[in-house]
Amino acid sequence: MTKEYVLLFSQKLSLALELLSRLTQLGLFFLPFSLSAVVVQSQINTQSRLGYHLVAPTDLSSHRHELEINHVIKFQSPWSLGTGFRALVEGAYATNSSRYPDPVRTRDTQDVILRDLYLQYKSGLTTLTFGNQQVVWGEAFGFYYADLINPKDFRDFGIGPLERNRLHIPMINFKLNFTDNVFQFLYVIKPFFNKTPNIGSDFSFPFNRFFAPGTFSFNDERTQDISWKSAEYGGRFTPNISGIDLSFLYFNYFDRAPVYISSLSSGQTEIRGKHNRLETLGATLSLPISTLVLRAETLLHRHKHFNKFSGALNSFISDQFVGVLGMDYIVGDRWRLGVQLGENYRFRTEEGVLEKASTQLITVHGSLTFFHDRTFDLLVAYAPHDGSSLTEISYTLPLSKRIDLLIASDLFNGGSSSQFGLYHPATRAYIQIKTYLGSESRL
Amino acid sequence: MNSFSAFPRYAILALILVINFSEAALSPQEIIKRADQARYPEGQFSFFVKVTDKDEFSDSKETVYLVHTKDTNNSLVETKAPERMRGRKLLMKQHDLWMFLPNLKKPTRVGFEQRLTGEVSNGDLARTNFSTDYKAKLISEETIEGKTCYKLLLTATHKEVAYRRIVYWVSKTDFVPVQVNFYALSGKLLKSGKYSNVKPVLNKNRVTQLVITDALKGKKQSVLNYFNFKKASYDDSFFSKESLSD
Repeated sequence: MTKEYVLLFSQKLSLALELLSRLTQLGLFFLPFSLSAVVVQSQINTQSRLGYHLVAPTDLSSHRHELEINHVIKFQSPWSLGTGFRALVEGAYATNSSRYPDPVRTRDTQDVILRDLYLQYKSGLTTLTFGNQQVVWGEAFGFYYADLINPKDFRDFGIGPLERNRLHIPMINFKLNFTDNVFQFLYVIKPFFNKTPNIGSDFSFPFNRFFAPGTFSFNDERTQDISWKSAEYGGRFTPNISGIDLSFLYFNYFDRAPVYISSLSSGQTEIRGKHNRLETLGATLSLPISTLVLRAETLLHRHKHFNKFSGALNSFISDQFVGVLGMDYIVGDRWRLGVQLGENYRFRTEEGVLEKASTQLITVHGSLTFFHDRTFDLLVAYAPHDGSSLTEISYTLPLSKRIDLLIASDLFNGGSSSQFGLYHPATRAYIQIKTYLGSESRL
Repeated sequence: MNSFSAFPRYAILALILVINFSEAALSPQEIIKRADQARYPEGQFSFFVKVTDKDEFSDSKETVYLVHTKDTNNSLVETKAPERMRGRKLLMKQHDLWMFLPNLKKPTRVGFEQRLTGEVSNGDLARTNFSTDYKAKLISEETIEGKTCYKLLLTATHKEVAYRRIVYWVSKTDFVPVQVNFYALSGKLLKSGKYSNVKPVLNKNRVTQLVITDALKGKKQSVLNYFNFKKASYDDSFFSKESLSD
């Protein structure tokens, strides 16, 4: 098994290095432009993680290696170019085949993800960014509410830095920045959807509750063809009024999360993930009150599809209200403490619906940095509607200026059909080594 | 004595009187304004500052920042080192503060009093002028390390500053700051600072080092070294929250 894994890892590392060389060639293609470059910023980060399940069977949960490379080239003109990609290999799927069968074993053992690939023009009031990028809306922490533009990588439940889990997508991002009033317009050329956990992974949708194992096949669409009908658009107005950060947003798009539709074909059940169009209107707020900061988000999702099961997996349409209220106390980079309440309320319900009409999430998070820059992080998310909880604990120990050691644990608790308790078997602990390499050259 | 031979004496006396009158005419506010100029250039500029934090429990820690400043109301502080913190930004706009963290990729509102690192506060890096935030009063003259200094009491003119009260020693000869004490509203000494390393920066001699010591824990210290000052021209939009993620 070890020999097989080493061979697999070597193959994937070679693929990553090949991509790196191609990106370098891309940079050489821009050589005539690079002659007028002023600043070249490079970042090369690596992560290696080894983890085990804490719930029987206490076997390997993760043996992952990642390489991420990012460049930003700023030219003398108002133009800049951003490029980046991440390559990863998950050895646990390859070596722990008894726990991780196909399709997760074949689909998620390795991945190369294109991140930034954009050209940006920034001058005066105008910022125009064209290409693969991230756009982040909202004020909440820990979970994605108004942060709805980019799809997310939920193959690992979305745990980890929010920036890391967002998937870059191609779009036109136009901003008019009047300092205290900013107008932003987005046009997404080609919609992309969340990367959802494949069947067999720790966090896959529990299809086995509805269909006997081996009697169904599953396919989730990840994108759609480029066309006017599949384009997405929206905008945001961000005023700062008397020290209060406000934003008002609208986005017309395809739901990043799928609803699952099952159908019978030739005696086999076929399940496919479907992403339906909806629109979202919302407002966010951030306001300092003495040493605290108040954050709030309200969203209205219109014509959103929700899953139900009535002999077959299907969906129905309803509007949904989302409200988030949080308070933070932050002391620079030393320590922070925050609490957040979130409420999802669906206006309609139908028989067989899989999710309750009203769900809540109470999140408490804290971070403490003490001597030698050691950092302790804790996040506890509690779902009062079903009594389940998720606890993420981590301890970061800098080993040098460029190497960190992370010791962490993710604990899923609750009833077997609850939001977090469903994934109780995925409860795990792991250690992780991160390296940070980078440079900034001024030409 | 005839009037002709007494002329040089009268001239010297008149000169002395003129000089003294000029000095006496210099208001405390003008003194700290000149001291501000000995700390930072006027107008829009950028500079690097290396902050070295030391305490009795750990080895020294270095952080390098690039500071962009348009005026006393607009400053942007970018973290350049260590590598794990590169990309962090702190925007100070009038009395509002935002932090940008690369692992969130969005600006987050923070309180103005929050500390940035060690003994250095956001206000220490982002704010550049005492003359706009404080009202000065001349207390006395003292000699510090062989230099005759004005000793001034600075009282905050609004509550959105990092320190409500400052005692400030400014050299009488060249208006270069020599020493500073920062106090809380209660009158408790929070920390003290010593300016040094005067060098020519953008056509004027300015201090390029500030050593800040924790008044309660004397072994906790931050050394700020300023370098690479450059004149700049910034759009107002450069200092907006929405530009942090660009």
